[in-house]
Amino acid sequence: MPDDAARAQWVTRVLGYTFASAQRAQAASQWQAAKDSVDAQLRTLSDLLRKTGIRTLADVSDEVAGLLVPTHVSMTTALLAYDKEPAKPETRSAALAAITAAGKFLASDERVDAVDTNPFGVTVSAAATLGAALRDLQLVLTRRGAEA
Amino acid sequence: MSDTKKKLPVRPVAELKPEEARAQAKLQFQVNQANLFLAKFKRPPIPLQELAASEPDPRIGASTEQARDAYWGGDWETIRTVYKSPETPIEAKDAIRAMMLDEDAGRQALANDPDLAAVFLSTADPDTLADTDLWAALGNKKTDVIAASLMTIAKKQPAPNDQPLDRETQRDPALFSVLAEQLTLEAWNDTSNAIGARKRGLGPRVCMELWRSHGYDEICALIRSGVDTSVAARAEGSGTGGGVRTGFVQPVQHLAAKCLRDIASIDTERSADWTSFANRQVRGAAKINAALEASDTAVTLTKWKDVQDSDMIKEFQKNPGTIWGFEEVRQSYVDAAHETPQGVQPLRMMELWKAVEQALSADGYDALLANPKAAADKYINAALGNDLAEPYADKDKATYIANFKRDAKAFLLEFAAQVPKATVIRPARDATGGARPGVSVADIAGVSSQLMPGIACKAGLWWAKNEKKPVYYILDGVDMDDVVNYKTLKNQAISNFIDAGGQPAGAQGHHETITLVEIREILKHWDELGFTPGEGGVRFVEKGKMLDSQDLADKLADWQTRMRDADTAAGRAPAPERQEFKHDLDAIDPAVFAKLADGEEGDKDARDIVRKANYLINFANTRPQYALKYLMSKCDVLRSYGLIPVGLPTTAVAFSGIVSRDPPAPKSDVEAAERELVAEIKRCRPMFQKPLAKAILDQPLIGRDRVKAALRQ
Repeated sequence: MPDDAARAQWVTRVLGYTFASAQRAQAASQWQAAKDSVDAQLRTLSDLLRKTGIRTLADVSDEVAGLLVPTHVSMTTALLAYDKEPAKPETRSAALAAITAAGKFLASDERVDAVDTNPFGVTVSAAATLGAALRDLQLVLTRRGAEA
Repeated sequence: MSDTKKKLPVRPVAELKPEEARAQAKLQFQVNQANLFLAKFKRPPIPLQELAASEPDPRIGASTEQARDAYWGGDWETIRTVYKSPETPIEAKDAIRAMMLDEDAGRQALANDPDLAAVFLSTADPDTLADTDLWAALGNKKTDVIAASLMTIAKKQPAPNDQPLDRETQRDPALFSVLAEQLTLEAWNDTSNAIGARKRGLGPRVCMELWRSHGYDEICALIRSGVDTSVAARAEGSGTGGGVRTGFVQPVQHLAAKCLRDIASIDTERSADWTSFANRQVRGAAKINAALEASDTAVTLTKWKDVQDSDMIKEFQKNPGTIWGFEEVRQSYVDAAHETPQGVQPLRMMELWKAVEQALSADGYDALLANPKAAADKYINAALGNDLAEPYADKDKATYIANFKRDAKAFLLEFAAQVPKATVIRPARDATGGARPGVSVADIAGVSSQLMPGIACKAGLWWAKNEKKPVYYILDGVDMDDVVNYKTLKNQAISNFIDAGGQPAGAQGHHETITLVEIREILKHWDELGFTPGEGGVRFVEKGKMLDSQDLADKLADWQTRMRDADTAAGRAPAPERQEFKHDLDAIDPAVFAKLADGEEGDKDARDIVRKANYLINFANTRPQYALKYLMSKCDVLRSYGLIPVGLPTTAVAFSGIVSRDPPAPKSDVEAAERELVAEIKRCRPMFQKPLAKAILDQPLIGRDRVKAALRQ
C-alpha cells in the first residue's frame, strides 16, 4: 500500500477523520468490489443455466449474467464524474441520484429477487451485497455534502 | 406383477415406495421452482418435451433410476430418449421394455409411436412377447411396426458361436422368428399391382438384408412358411450391389440362382481363393436353393448340373448366340455357355458394356449419330483398355477380344441406326434458349431413369437379329403381368412424379426395368425379332427348356393380346404442365405455346412436340432414307400444330415417286414436283427446313443418281 494511503487509513481508523481523496477511493472501490462479487455469483448461475441444455433456461442465462449491467453503467458514470469534481454539488447530486435509482432497482426488480432466491443451488446475494455498498456510498456522499 | 414391475412400479402415487414418492415429489418441486424463477424473468415455464429433448438433461442419463423418473412423469418422450441413449445400460433398456410391454399406458405409448415400437421390438426378449397384449394395442399399425422391426433385425449380424447374445447389435433368430410369424403371408407377399410399390417390398427387402448379413437360415424359414422369394421391390436410389440392381431389390431366388456354379465348386480348388464372406454366401445360397427345391417354389433351376445339361446349353452349342434375361438369373446359363468351346465371345450386353456405355451420354450419342463408324472405333479402343477377357487363357483371350471388337462394332452401328429416341436425354432449354445444365427433356417428362440403357438394350436385340445371332431369352423370374401392364404402371409412375412436383421438386420419375422393356420390344416386333432357323432371333427359355412352337404360339398370342389391350387402356403417358416445355417449344415456334389444347391433352402435346421435333431432325440427319416414313407415321402432333405442313408427306411421296419412275419422268415433271416440295418445305418451321430438304428432297435424287450410275456401269 502506498505511504499516503497507509497514512490516510491510520488517520481514519485511529482519529476518525476521513481525507477527501480517501473517501472517493473507498466509495469507488467499495462499489466495484461489491459489484464484482455479485457478478461472479451471477456468472456461476448463468453457466449452470446454460449447461442444463434446457432451452428456456439457457435463453435466460445471458439475461442473468447481464442483470447488473445497466445499473453498473449508471453508477460508474456518476461516480467517475464525482471523483473528478468532488466539490461540485452537481456531481455529488448525480451520484446520489444514481445510488437512489440503483437502490430502487434492487428493491423492486423481480429478477433480483429471482436470482437471490434461485432454486438451482447457487448462492447469489445481489440485493444484500449491493444494497450494503449503496448504503455506505450514500452515507459517505451525504456526509461529504454536509461538510461542504 | 413381474419382478421388473416391482423394480419399476406402476404409476399411481398411492403405490409408490416412499423413496420413490419422495424422488418424484422432489423432481416436481424442482421443476416448479425453476418455473417460478423463469416467471420472474417473464419467461414461459419449461415444457416437458424440452426436458426430454435437452442434452444434457439432469433427468436423462444412463441409469434405471432416471428412466424410472421419466416413467413416473408419464413422459414417454424422455423414455424414448433414455432408451435410445448409448449411455443407457442394457439392464435399464430391458427394464424399460418390460415395463412398457406390461403396462397399458406403455403399450399405448408404443402404439402412438411406431418408430419407438419398432426399436423396442427389434431388441426384445422373444419370451416377453409370447403372451403380450401389444399386438392388440398396436391395432392397424401392427404390420408396419413389425415390418420395421424385422428390417432392423435382418440388418444385424448373428452372434458369434458361444458368445452371449446382444440384441442391440446382433440378430436373435428366435426373436426374428416370433415377429415373422406375427405377419400374415398377405403382408409378406403384398400383391399390390405396381412394380416396386413400397408396400410390395417387405419379403424382398427383408431377404435382401438377411442375404447381406448371412441370415440364410432365416431366409430358408421364410421360404418354408410361404414367403414369395421370387418378387422384386423398388430400392432407395438407383445403385447396384449387395442384392440391389439398378434401383431394384433383387428377389433372393435370383441372388441364389447366380451362385450355382460356385455352389458346385464348394471345397474344390476353385474355392481356395474365396473370401470368408464369399464362402459363407455361397454356402448360404446352397441352403436357399435346397429350401426352394423342397418347397417346390423355385422359379429357376437350382443345380449347376441341370444348367449344364439343359436344352438351352445344348442348343447354344449348336447355334451360339447371346443370353438375355434378368441379370442374376441368366448368369448361370452364361457361365455354362462360356465353358463350352462356342462360348468364347461376349454372350450378353453387359459384356459389351465398356464400349456401349460411352454412347449413352448426350455427347457420346451425338458423336455416334454424327459419325457412327469413327465413334464406334473410338469407343471400342477405349474399352479395350480394360481387361475384358480376364477369365480366359491366352489363346482364348485373343479370340474373345476379336469377337468383342466384332460384336461391339456391329452393335454400335445398329444403335446409331435406330430411331433416335435417345435425343430426349439432351439438355432442355432455358429462357434464353440455351441448355439447362443437368436437366434433360427426359428428366422433365419423368422418364430419364435407366432410359438410355433400356434403349441400348432394345437396340441390342436388333443388332443380334441383324447378325443372325440367336437370342436365348431366359424367362425365369419374369412375371408376364408386369410385362403386359408395363405401360399402365409407367403412366402411373409418371403421374405420381407430376403430382409430387416433378423435376423442379426433385420427384422420382418412372424407373425403367430393362428386362421388361426388352420383352415388350420382342412382343411388339415378334414378326421381325422372332426366331427363324438360319436367321437368328429370339428364343424363349423356361427353366432351361426351349419353349416349343405350340407352347410358344399359345403364350405369345395371349401376351400380345393382353399387352395391346392394356396399352390401349393406359393411353398416352401423363405429362408435366406445359410450362415445363415452354422454352423448348419457343425454340421450335414461339407461337405454338399459345395454340396448345386446353387441359392435360395440351400438356401431352407440348411434351410430344418437343420430343418428336428432336426425333425428326435427328432422323433426317442420320437416317434420311427413313425420315419420310417417320414423318408419315409418327409426326401427327407436329402437323396438327402447323409446324410441318399437312400436305408435306403427300408431296414428298409424289416427288419420290416421280424421281424414281422407270422409265424416267420428263424433266419438266421432276422440276414441277421439286418446286412443289420446296414450297412445302419452306412452309415448315425454320429448324426443320434444312434437315428435311436433305432427307426428302436430296435423298431421292441421290438415290436416283446412284441407280443411274449403277446402270451405266
